[in-house]
Order: sequence, then structure tokens, then C-alpha cells
Amino acid sequence: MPGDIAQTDAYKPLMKSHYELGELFKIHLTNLLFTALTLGIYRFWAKTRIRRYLWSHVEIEGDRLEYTGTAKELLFGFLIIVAVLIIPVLIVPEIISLAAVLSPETQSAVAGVQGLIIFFLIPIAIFRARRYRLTRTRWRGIRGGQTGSSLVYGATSFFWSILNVVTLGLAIPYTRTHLARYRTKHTWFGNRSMVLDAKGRRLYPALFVSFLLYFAVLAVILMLAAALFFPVFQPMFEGRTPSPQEIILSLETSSVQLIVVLVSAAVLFTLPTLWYAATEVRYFASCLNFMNLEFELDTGRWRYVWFIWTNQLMALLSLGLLLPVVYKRYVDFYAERFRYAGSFSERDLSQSELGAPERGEGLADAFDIGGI
Amino acid sequence: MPSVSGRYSDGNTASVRQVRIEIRADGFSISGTDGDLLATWHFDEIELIDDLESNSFLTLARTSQPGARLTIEGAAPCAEILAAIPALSQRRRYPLPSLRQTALYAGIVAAFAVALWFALPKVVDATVRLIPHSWENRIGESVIENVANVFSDKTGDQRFCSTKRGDDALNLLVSTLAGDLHIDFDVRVLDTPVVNALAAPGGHILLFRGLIDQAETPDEVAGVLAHEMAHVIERHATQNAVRQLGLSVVLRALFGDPGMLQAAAESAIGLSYSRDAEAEADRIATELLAGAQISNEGLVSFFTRLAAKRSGQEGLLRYLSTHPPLADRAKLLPPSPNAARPSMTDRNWQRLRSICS
Repeated sequence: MPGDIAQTDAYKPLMKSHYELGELFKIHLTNLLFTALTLGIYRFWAKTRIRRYLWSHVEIEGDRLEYTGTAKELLFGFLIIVAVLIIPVLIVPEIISLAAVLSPETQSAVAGVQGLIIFFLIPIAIFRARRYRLTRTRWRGIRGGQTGSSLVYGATSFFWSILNVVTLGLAIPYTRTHLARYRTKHTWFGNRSMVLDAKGRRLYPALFVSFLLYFAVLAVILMLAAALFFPVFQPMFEGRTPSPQEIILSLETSSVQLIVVLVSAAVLFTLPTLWYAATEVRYFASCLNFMNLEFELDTGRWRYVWFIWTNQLMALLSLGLLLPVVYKRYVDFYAERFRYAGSFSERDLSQSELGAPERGEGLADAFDIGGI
Repeated sequence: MPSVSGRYSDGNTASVRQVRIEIRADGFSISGTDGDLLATWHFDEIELIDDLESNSFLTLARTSQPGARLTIEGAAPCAEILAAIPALSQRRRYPLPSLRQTALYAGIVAAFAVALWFALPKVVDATVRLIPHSWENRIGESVIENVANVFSDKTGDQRFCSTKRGDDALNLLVSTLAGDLHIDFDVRVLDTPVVNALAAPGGHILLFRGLIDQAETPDEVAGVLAHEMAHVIERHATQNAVRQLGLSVVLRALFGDPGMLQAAAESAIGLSYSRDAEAEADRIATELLAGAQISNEGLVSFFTRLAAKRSGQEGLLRYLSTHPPLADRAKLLPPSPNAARPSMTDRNWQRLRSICS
């Protein structure tokens, strides 16, 4: 049939990247400048500008992606969240607790409730932001969509997080796979949804390896701390517990050592998580199905760990200045390594009839989890 | 009729066709390679989605046909399309503000921010004057309570040092420094080896035992005490609390829950005010000492000694510190008056030093 993609057994890349660092930096640096000058309000326009570039410079099967979101939608999405959430839940209690001089116990109780509310809202924010981005993404004029309920997703995430804590992380493969299946089956492009045929138990070997890595890192950090902070630990070697004053006094004179230990801990403790994430992302890619197409992410685990690790470090250490490099590396990585096999009839992929939200991402923006 | 080639999808399915676009007087005729007419797009209803690679890649849309897209690649074909619809670059479906608009808007906001920066001390000052003393006092009590819990491993009144003679010596020094000021100072000694002192809202001052232990002369304690009393006189602690609260409300309304950068901005603003407050407290402390005819050399020598002890950290943490660099502070203090007398008698100094035993 003409217009169909030819059937081959070989996997081939799905995307082609047209990212150019010069162009990306031009957009990113003006974005940073204006965001600073406008005390952050420009960030909605900044996000829209950079996304226009990021979407329109990805090519799939000869056609570019298209980002149809507007800054106004993001701005109003945020204003609504300020009115219904930031002011009543975060600002008002802070003023009350200072004005009424609440006891330390009451203050921590208020902060605890606030923390719980935010913790509950974060997965909801992620799910809602996904819906906004999917409905604002087009390819050949066909747009994406998302079904499912952000409240169900939020509640499930909330209880799964508690379960993960109670089981000391042993439930992680099940809970993460369950949530990924939920997200995927409610992800639509045009009139078709996706399927993730993944089983949590397949990820247990990776979980145990990451546990081992975790203890190895812990041992390294403890040895480093013991070597650098010998004076602090000295009382312990003499068989007594150091008093808080002694600890404060020693820390006061060894701030450089403290920074060394904290930075190495922050950097090294990401390794076990990234190892697990590398296994998971490869497995999930192989379980993904859209219109009978099959997918794979062709990367070694350590290569993936190195890739994410360097990206995060670069973004963090440059305080976001080098984000264009991160974007380009990210898309180039997937353009090279994310592949598909099989064929589908383009005529069977028709326009989406799912609803689209009028405003977007307020929650995700409020909690600074917007990503790009 | 001129014509260019392009790619067309109708917005109903994801199939895409190679097409010929004939440019007529009032619009495009779009037909397939086999010659059958697929659509007629009128110029008035054509919008621009993307113009990429310096106008050698155009994506067009049509208002009356949602999702339909026409893509033209190559410099020459794109030039023909742009010539046919001169206003195309203004007919973007999703326009972003121009650089000029943005710069104008940024300028207004920046001017507003600068104005706020200069108005902030006055606004904070006015707010602080509205706060009743009893309220300030309660906030101060809770600050002292929290600090005492952190730095002392004892509980209740055990955390503070007090002897009849030590208290008398301390109170005599306070009233000598206060002169004819009508302010209630509540000065207490916290039982901890850490070298520090602080002034909380409502006239509460904490001297840490470590400071009295490390001081070589009573004038050094008198100098630090005068500095903390200056904070009380200027109500710096209350101002600080009001400013931090105000800033956090404004920044949260702008950003939501403060992330790392916003928190950094908040503390950077706080730090710059805090260093000004410290410099002001040093100046007023010198006045208090002069009024009591006590030399400020004690304050100078104490800072100099602390600076020497911490010389390793000063360089690294200089810009993150709430206080001006110690060595600079020692240099900035004016020389003391000639007619200086000791801040306390030897006997009272011994009584203060043994207040914790």
C-alpha cells in the first residue's frame, strides 16, 4: 500500500535531531536575561520559546514536531495555582504562625501538613503537565492527548511512596512499573494509545545490584568522612559520645572538609539510582508498543549512567547556563539510540478527539518540576 | 501560474502526500502528483506555524481546516510563498512577544524592582513601628528558647548561667552602657563553649559562655555587649524577621514554592541588609562605649583575634557571611576617646567570669 512504512526486521532510529548549539544558546541566554530582568515573570514566554525550538527541530519520518502551547496558557495556569494553592496553603500559614507566635511543636505540625500536601501534589503536577504537553504536541497536524485521572495517579503515587518506605525500597520495581503502565496506557497520539507490557519482577536483579552499589557508596563516604573528620570522631574512639557543642566546635573549624564530604556524597549517591534507572529505561523501551511498532533503547547501562550523570552535573554546576548542551546531548542520544521496528498504516492514525486543557502546568511550575 | 512542490497532510490522518502548490491570485491550489485537486487554501486563512532554517523551511496552517499542514522546503520555493503572502511573518498562529516588547516590559519591571529595593528599608521600618512591644517580646522569647535548645545540652533554667554576684556585675555593665536610654535589656549568659552572642527581638540578648571565657579583658566583653545592645536599639532582629517574611511572600507569589535559585536570591538580599546592619551596630556600639567613657579597643582586639583564628575560612566564606569580614571591621572602628576608664572593676570581672560555675 502506498504511504505505508515498509516492513523490515531491522530496528531503525525514530527521530532525527536538527539541534544547533548556537541557536539554542541564543534563545537560552536571552531567556535567562529577560527572566532575571522581569523577576521571573518572563519564564512562561521563555519556556514557550525554547520549547518551540526543541519540538520543531526534531524530525520523525520526514516531518517535524510542532509545539502549539502559548505563554499565556502557562501564565494563567500559574496564576490560578497561586490563588488556590500558594496563598492559602503556603503563605497564609506562614504569616499566621509568625504573627501568633505558635509553639515550636505547632509550627512543625503546620510545616508537616504543608509538606504532606506538597508531596501529594507533586505527582499530580507531573501528570497534569504531561497532559498539557501532549495536547500541545502535533506531528503532521495530528495531536497527542492523555486520558486517566491525575487524582488517581496522585493517590496511587502517594500510597506507593509510603509502601516503598515501609518495605525499605523492596517494592520499588512493582510500584514504578505500575505507575509507568498507568502513564503509558493513558498516553495517546491521535486516535491510538500506547501500551507498556512490563512486569515489575523483571527489574529485581537491577534493584539488588543498586542496593549493593548503595552500600559500597555508603562505605566510601563513611571512610572519607572518618579520614577528614578525625577530630570529631575522636571522642567515639575513646568510647564516649561527643556533646553537641563539641560537634559544633569541630565543624566550625572544618567547613572545607564538610563541603568535600557533602559534595562527594551528593554526587556518588546518585549512582545506585542511576544504575537502576538505566536498566529500567532499557526494559521499558523494549516493552513499549504503539500501533504494533516495537521499540528499543540501544545503550549499555554504564553509558546511560554516565550520560545522565554528566548531564545533571553540567546543568547543576553551570546553574543552568549550559542547559542548551544538555538538551542537545539528550536529543542526540535518543535520536541515535531509540529505535523502532515494524510498520503501521498512516491512514489508521487519525486525529485525536480527546479534550485538551485550556491552561497548563501551573502546579508543575509552582513546584519547580517543569523540566524543560 | 507559478507552482512549488511541498508536503500536505489534511489534519484527519497522519498520511502525508507530495503535492504541487499552484500560486494563484487569491490563494493556493493544492493537488497530488497524480493531478487530483486536494484542497484550495485562500490567502486570508493561511497562518504561519514555523519558519525554520532562515526561511528555507515553512510550515503553514489553515484556520478553517484544523490540523491540516503544508510544508515547503528549500530556499527558492519558500521565497515564492513568502512573496505571494507578504504579511505571512506577521500571521503567526502562536505569536511570541517581540524583543522590543519584551525589553520594554523588562525595563518597567526592573525599574519597579529598583524602586522597591530602595523603598524596602522604609517599608520594613514603618511595619516594625506598628508591631506592639509585647508581640516583639514573645517572638524574642521563642528565638532565645530555640537557640538555647540547640547550643546547650541542659534543660530549662539550667541552660542559662546565673549567680547573684555575676548577675549584678553584668547588669551594672549593661546600665553603664545604656546611660539614659529607656530600653529594657534582658541580658543572659548561655552555658555553652561556643564563642558567640546574639540579639533577639524585644531586647533579649544572649552572651555565650565561650565568649566570656575567650575574652582577655572586660573591655572585650563590654565591646561585644555594646554591639548587641546597638542591634536592640535599632530593632534589627525585628526588622530582619519582617523583611524575610515579606521577601518570602513576594518571591513565592512570583515563583511558587522556592527552588534553589529563588532561595539563593532570598538569602543574597537578606545578607546584603544584614552586613549593613552589622556595620551600623559597630558604629552605634562605639557611641555607647564613648558615652560610658569606655575604650573601644576591646571590641577591636576581640575582632582581630577572632580574625586571626579563623583566617583559613575568611577568604572562602567572605561573601556568604552575614557579617562584614572581621579584619575589615577592626580597621573601620574609629579610635577611642582619650578619657577612657575600665569597663568594670577587677572584682566584678572575676564575678562575671565565674557566673557559670
